[in-house]
Parts: sequence; C-alpha cells; structure tokens
Amino acid sequence: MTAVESKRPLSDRRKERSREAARFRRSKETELFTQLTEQLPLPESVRCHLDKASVMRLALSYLRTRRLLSAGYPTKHVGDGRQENQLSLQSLEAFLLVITSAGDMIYVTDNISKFMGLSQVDLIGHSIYDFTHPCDHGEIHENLSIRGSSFGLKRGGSLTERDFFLRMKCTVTNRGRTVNLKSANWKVVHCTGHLKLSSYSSTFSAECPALVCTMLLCEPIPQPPGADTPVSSHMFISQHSLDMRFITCDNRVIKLLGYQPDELSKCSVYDLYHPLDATNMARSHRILCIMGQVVSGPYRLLAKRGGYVWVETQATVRPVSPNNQSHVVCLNTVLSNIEERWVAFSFEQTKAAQKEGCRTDSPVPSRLKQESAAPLRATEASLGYFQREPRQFTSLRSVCPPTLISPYMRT
Amino acid sequence: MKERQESTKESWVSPGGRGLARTSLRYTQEEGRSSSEARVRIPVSLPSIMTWASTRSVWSGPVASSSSSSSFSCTDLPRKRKGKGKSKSPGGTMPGPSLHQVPLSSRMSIDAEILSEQESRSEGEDQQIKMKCFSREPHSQIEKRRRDKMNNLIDELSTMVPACNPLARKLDKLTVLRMAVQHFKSLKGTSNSFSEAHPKPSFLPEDELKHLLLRAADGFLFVVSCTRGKIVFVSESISDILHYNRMELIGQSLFDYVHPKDVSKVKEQLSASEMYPRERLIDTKTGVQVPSEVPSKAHIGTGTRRSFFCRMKQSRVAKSGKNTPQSSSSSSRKKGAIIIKRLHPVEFQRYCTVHCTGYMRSWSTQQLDTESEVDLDRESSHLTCLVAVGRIHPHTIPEEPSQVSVKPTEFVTRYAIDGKFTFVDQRATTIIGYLPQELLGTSCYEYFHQEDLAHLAESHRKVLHSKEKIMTNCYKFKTKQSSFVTLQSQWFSFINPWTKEVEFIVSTSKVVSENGEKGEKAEEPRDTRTLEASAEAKHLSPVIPGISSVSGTMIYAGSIGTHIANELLDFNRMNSPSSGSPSPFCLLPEKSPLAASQPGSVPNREDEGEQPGKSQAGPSQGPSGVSFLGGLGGEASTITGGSSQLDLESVVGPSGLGLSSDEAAMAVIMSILETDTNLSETVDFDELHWNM
Repeated sequence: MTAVESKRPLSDRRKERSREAARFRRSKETELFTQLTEQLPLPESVRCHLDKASVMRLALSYLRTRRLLSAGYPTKHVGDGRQENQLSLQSLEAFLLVITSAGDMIYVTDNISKFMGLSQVDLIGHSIYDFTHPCDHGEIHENLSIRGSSFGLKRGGSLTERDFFLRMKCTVTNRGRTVNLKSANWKVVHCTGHLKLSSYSSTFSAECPALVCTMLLCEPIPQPPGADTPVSSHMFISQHSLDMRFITCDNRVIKLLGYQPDELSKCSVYDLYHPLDATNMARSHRILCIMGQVVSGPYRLLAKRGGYVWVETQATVRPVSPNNQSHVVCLNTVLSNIEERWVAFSFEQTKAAQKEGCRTDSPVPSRLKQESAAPLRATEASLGYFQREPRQFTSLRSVCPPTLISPYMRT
Repeated sequence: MKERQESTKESWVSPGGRGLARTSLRYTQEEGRSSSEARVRIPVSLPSIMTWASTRSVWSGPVASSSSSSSFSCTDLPRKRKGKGKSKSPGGTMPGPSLHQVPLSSRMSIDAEILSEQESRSEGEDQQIKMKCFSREPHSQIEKRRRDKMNNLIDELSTMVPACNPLARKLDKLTVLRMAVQHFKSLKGTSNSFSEAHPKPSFLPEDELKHLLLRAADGFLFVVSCTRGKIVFVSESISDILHYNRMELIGQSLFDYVHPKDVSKVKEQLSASEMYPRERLIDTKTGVQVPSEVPSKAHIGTGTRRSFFCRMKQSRVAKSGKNTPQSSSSSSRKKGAIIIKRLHPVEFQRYCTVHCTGYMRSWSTQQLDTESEVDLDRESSHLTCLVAVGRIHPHTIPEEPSQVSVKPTEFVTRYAIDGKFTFVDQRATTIIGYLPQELLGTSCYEYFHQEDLAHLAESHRKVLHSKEKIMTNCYKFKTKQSSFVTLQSQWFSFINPWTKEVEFIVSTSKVVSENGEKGEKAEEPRDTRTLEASAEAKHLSPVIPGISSVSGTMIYAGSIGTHIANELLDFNRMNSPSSGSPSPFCLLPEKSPLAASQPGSVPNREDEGEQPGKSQAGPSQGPSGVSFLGGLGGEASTITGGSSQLDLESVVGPSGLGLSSDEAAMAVIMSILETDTNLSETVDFDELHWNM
C-alpha cells in the first residue's frame, strides 16, 4: 500500500495496472470471506462482527470437528437431540471441549459461557494454552498427546482415557459479575474424557497427518456453598486442616455415617478411607495443594460402626483471615447406603462397635470369650469348604461373614 | 524480530522482578501501549495459595517442579500457528529457570502479569491495522506477522478441504478460499445441521454433539418422574450400556430395573421434599408432600443436585449372546463392576453399579416435548422429574462377588507404621480365619512365622523409606487354627501429601499356595489361642509362668514393628533441621506415641530376657523360636524403652548371650543393628521425601 503511494512517473502505467489488479484481488478475497462467513453455523448477530482471522479459525475448527465426527461416528442415531443434549450438559454440570493434540480448541459447547464467562465464538480455534494456567501446561500437553499416558492412567483406565485437572481463565466472578479477560481469575476444571485418533477417510491423501483429538467433559468445580444455601440431605460439609485432619463437620454426618461431629475433630480423614482408595485420594490431595480445588472420584469412607459408604468430595482451600491459616472446605456427597455394615474394618470401628455392645448388655468380656469358640468352628468349616470347592467360593462368601460376625455386631 | 526475542529471553533470565519490569517496558514501547495498560495486574484469586504458601517451605517442592515442567512445555510445544504473536516469544511466556528461586507469591503474580501482557499483545495484534505506531519498524513487523498468520491459516485450510488436496502444487489463497466455500456448502447440503428451523443455530449439529457428549461422558441420559418413578425419557446410548432398547424402557417404572435393595434409596432421592433444606422440611412435614407446590425459583442451590449410586439390571438378552459367566466377568473388568445377584446359585442376574448425576427439575405439562409419549398426570400441571446421566461406576470393587471369584485369595490390610493392623478387609477372614476385629490393634509380627521375621522386618523398613511398592518374599502367616498359610504381600507406604509424613502402610496380600495347611500345625496347643485372643483385646497380657513364652512371643514380636517405626521417627527427627537426637538409640519416648506406650511393659520384658532357660522349658516343638522372640523383645524394649546410654556393644551383649544358639534370631538382630548403624552413618538424602 505504501509502495503504491510513492509514485514514479516512468512506471506509472504499470503501477496503475498492478494497483487495479491488487484491488480486484482484494475485493475478490473480501467477497470470498463474506461467503465463507455466511457458511459458518453461527447466528447472524455474531457472524457480522467477525474479522478475517476469526472467520478462518472458526472455519478451520468446524472442518476439523466434522472430520473427527465423520471418522468414527456412524450416524445411526436420528432425531432431534437438542433438548437431550442440553439436559445432559445440565445434569453433568459440565461443558464439552474438543482439543487437538496441538492444543487448538476446535469445539466447545456454548454453555461454557455460563461457567467461564467466555463465549463459544471467542474460544473456538484458539489455543488452550492461552486460556490455562502456565503451571498446568505440562500436564495438559501430556494429556493431549498419545504417548502421554501416565497421567490419565491414574484411575485405572485404558490408554486413551483422560482424567486431569487444569486451571482455566474465568471472567465471571463468584457473584456473577463479568470482568475483562485481562483481569480474569482462574477456575479449576476437572476434565475427563477420551483421546481419539481419527484416521482419514479415502478423500484425504496420506500426507496430511492424522487428527488426534481429545474430547473432554470439563466440569468446573463450584465454590463450596455458604451456610445459608440449601444442601441436599445426602451431603455434608466438613472443614479440614491442610493435612486433612478434621476441624469441624456438619451435623448431617451423624445420620449419614454415624460419627458425632466433635469426635471427628483432629482425626485424620485418611484413617477413614478404604486403603485401596488411599492412592487416589492422595493424588486428589496433591492437586488440592497445587490448584486449591479438587473433586475426588467416588471413594469409600468408613462408617462409624462398621461398613463403608461411597462418597464423592469437592474440596476447596480457603484462607481464614485472622491468623492466615488456611483450611479445606469439603462438600461431601454420599452416594450409597452403608455397605457391609456388619463388618468392622478399622480399629476405630471395632472400638465403636464394642462400646455399642457395652451399652446394650454389660458382660461383654465374657460374651467375647464364649463366642470365640463358635466363629472358630465356622471359620474352619469355611476354610475346608474353600479348599474342596474353590469354584463355589462366591456363594460361600455371602454366607460366611454374616454368620461369623453377627454374634459380635448384632446387639 | 529475532532481536526482540533474544532480548526478551535475556530479560527473563535476569533474576526476579527486574527482568519483568524490563520486559513489560519493552513491549510497551514497541507496541505503542501505555505502560499502565500493559502492566495490569490480574487479581489472582487462585485460591489464596500464596497466603500460606510463602509461610510453608514445603511448598517450594511441588510448585517448582510444576513450573519447570510448564516451561518445558512451552518451549517444546509444537505450535502450529507460528505467525501468532503469543507463540513468538517462548522465553517471555514462561518464567525462566532463575525464577524458581523467587518466593512463590511473587512468582504467581509474575505469571499472572505475563498472561495479562500476552493477552494485551494478542488483542493488539488483532486490531493493529488501525493502531498508530511510534515507528515504522515494528509496524511492518506486525504486518508481516499478521500476514504470516493468515497464510498459515490458509495453508491449514487447504489441507482440510478435500478438493484442494489431490492437487500437488500449492494453491493460491483465493482458490483455497473458493474451494472452502464450496466445501462448506456441500457439507451443509448433506447434513441438515444448520437448518433454519432453529432460532439459534448451533455450531455443531445437535446429533453430532450428542455423539461427542455421550462418548465423552460414557453414559446415558434419563428422565424419571418423581411421583411414580416412571421413565419419561432415556437416550439411545442405554443400549450400549445396559443392552436395553430405548423404547422398551420408556413408560416403565424405574424401580423395576433397580436392584431391590436400592429401591428405597432411589425413592428417597426422587422424593421432591429433598428440594428443601432439611430444616424446612421438618416444619412443613405435617401434610403429604405435594411436588407441584414446590416453587421453581428455589432450585438454584445444591439442594436440587442429585448424585448417587444404584445398581441397575442389565438386559439378559445381551447382544451377541455373551451370556456365559466367563464373558460376563471379562466384560465386567472392562466396563466396570458388575454385581451378580444370586437368587439361585446357578442363575445369574447381572447388575451394574451406575453412578447417577443430575438434578431435579419441574416442567409444566405443555412444555414437555412431543417425543416422549407418556401419559402424564392429568391433574397436576407440573411434572417434577429427575434428570440425570447414568454412568457405569469405573472403579473395580474388590468386595464384590464377581471380583472375589476371580481372585478369591487376596485381601487388603492397612498397618500403622509400627505394623499394627488398623484396617482389615473382611475377605481376610476366609483366608486367615480371624475376624477383622480380632486382628485390629494387634501387630502383624505376632502372626508371622519366626523364620520370616528377618526379611519381613527388612521389607517393613524398606517400605517406610521409599515411595515404591514393595513385594515381600513369601512368608507364613499364622491362621486362627494355628496352622500357617503362605502369603505374599505388596506393601506401600502412604505419605500425606501435605505433611510428607508416612501415615500408614497398605498391604495387599495374596495366598501363594495352601500347602501343608493341616499338616504343619503350629506348636501351641489350642487352648492358648483363646487366651491370646483375650490378650489381644487388651493388648497387654499378664505374664503367666508356663504359657508365658507363648503370650510373650505375641507381645515381643509386635515390638519389632514398634522398633522399626521408632527408627523412622528417629530418622525423621535426625534429618529435620531442628533435630535433637543424634543417634537412633537415644529415643525420647514422649516424642512418639508408639514409644510412649512401652515403659509399662518394660519390666516384664526384662524379666523375659533374663530367663531364656525358662521359656525354653515351654512347649518342646519350637523352643528356639520362642526364646529368640523373647530375647529379641527384650532387646527391642531396651532400645525403645529409652535407655539412652546404651552403646552398640551393650545392646548386643545381653541379647546375644541369650540367643547364641539361634542363628535366625541373630540374623534379625544383626540386620537391625546394621541398619541402625547404616542410618546413622550414611544418610542418603536423595531417597528421602522430606523437604530440604
């Protein structure tokens, strides 16, 4: 453009011609861009405000998403899925995000604006790395690539399963105010999903690389509810020190687990976990320490008088202003009834069960002595049974524990 | 361009905030941004990590590593859009290595600032054309970058449009664009995706979104009316999960498909009263709860959220006839846990544990979509429903029968660091004969065969000092019938992520072989067992002459674990900066609760240690082992009891005298002593998890 303005009399006509050509080319390009914009599946109001770069990134993302879909999804499902999709997303309280291995977000559902404040059009085609916390980039990269399997495997899935956390920019404050992207804060998002490798259909030549996409269901972790907000009766709120010792606990725990809130204080929550979940919970705890928020998967929490319940926990680190000591606020959702309630797994449960026994009938020691012979015989029988017919072991198991344990546990 | 990159890197390498200030200034000049704008600080509400992070030195560990990995990611990431400004300056995006020494709080804010800078820059680029620039140099740079970016996008577009691909030569921009428009039109033609029917066209056709969504979630959507539990809607994907045809479920009662034991729980979850917080429910509990009275605006809180497990019946008419128990167990391992209900021992009814996540919602009847052909309650104008996504619970549940049938010879226990049982899986009962409550609180060493004590103690010590899972050798575990069962265990120590202290040891034991279970009877007569059982309950038995050796064995074996635990505690203390005790032999009992329980039993043990002859006069089958244990216990108690003046020789002395005949015992003691000296001499800091 600047070259055109600097005139030289000799090449005037040639300049003129090339200027004409350039103008024609530009107008042609603009026209094509307009056409392309019209083809984009976006509302008119959004479409008319797009610049060329945005048109390009949206168009590219659209084509990639289509390719991903055409590669692996037979269109056997028909009918209008609009309401179904909305209900699904609302049920899960999550948004869907499709990311290429390079980190480009090629698709995101429009309900992301509800959680993060950023709109679908703002995000599609951009790189995930521009919207996530720098400290998480390593893990994101690891999770988006095929070889990166160590992170996703933690919870025992296949090689393509993904389960990780990241911090994403959020322009909605806790009070619902929208702020500028520059002053956005971080929101912890739990991502679960699959890595998908789409091999190309015959229309594409071999030279273009395979499209590796990760489809993630992203679940932003909400702030813990305040004291006044209604909480389902299957949830209880607890507060912990940073090493996960109980500080306080809400009264609903009495009904759900049998513990009195004050007897739990100072007790480490790790003593209540099922050992098989300890590794997962430690991972969650580590993420909590790094990101400040986490949601655990379902895990087993021992109930007071034997047995356990399945629980899922959303934990948030919160500062306490007076002495600068932070603590952890957990919103625990009890998922199941107390299972195996006649079995005391832990030392504490044994004590609780014994105390229970003391209260109902006093001569516990003598009772224990008397009955120590009976289970002995029962166990012997069971072992013999087990030896003879190992195949029938499953049926044995259901019979065995109740008969063995009932004298102790049943009051 | 290159110049700038380099200078950016330079300024990052320079320590701390100075580098930052310089960088931002540079950008300010070059991009023509006012410095106040470029230096906007994001109020990082990153859950206030900084407030406590700077006070805890523990913090420098994880954060430093994570930020270093992030810097790796940035420089090594394959960026596609090279022309983009954000990816142009790899050094500037991430804090350089020198930043790791900066206190966390300032580092966090630096990260934030970088981002804000990036953001302002990238936004700037998009609108640069209109921008007035200070000098010509950067403007042309910016223009070039913009063109590069555009060209890259065009190139990428050409790979995505099939019509452009067969042509080998590089196409010009206009052709690519034209082809792209054509391609878009053809796509539009094949799918009815963005037809004009929808007021608000969605970016992706809903059908395809549905695939993505259910694929990502691996679940099925269902809507159940709260009043009767009738299934109003269920998505087709249920056929992949529970093998039902969608149409055969719609209109049915959900309770017919739920495990009988879970029906009451599901009913509870469906009850609309749950919409209220509990307190208010009690107030209004006088009448029958009418769901239509529920005001719809009160549903914002978590009170309407639902998340629960329930077992759902799988269709018996499974696809491709995989009805055999073998295939069911294999599919259960793949898909999740399947519970087998036993009505008769032969008949199998498969249930899946489904994790339902959703919320309560009420519709007015006319709002309901026409797709679900349900006869609605005529009288009520609102229908309250549970809308939820069911997902197969991904965890394997070891307690379930199907799992037990696969691995019936495995059980899980948790030990305190001194080897006392704090958790026992009930499967252990069928293997070792003890009820969980009999084992809990006792030391695992009480049940080990004396031959195995040495290597188990070694494994115990190893597991406390490493993060790895450790497989023990095969060992003999005394069952309740006084016979021995051969086990092999995998141990790992659990370290609290915050305090970095070992909290407990988790052990997964499996039966190796059942040989000689009846044949190799242990030495004790049966009646001592009951005595021991009562001793276990109190955990401190009086030493009775005659049987004292046996019950003595119980207690003293346990103290091996205590000793090892104390070693660890001592080791920690030794290596912590404020460590007081220089040697593992000088224990301060008040510092460890484990050691604190010892002094009471010390006199008895000394007694035992002094009378090896007496204990050998006990049961004739195993005199050596008994005496050895007694002696060992004495030795351990002198150590743990806090006699701080003992040196190595004096410890070896008395115990060695009593045990000179027993080589195995000697080996144990020597190994313990050896490790002690090793610990005090060579401190391997690399293997420690403490923060240094």
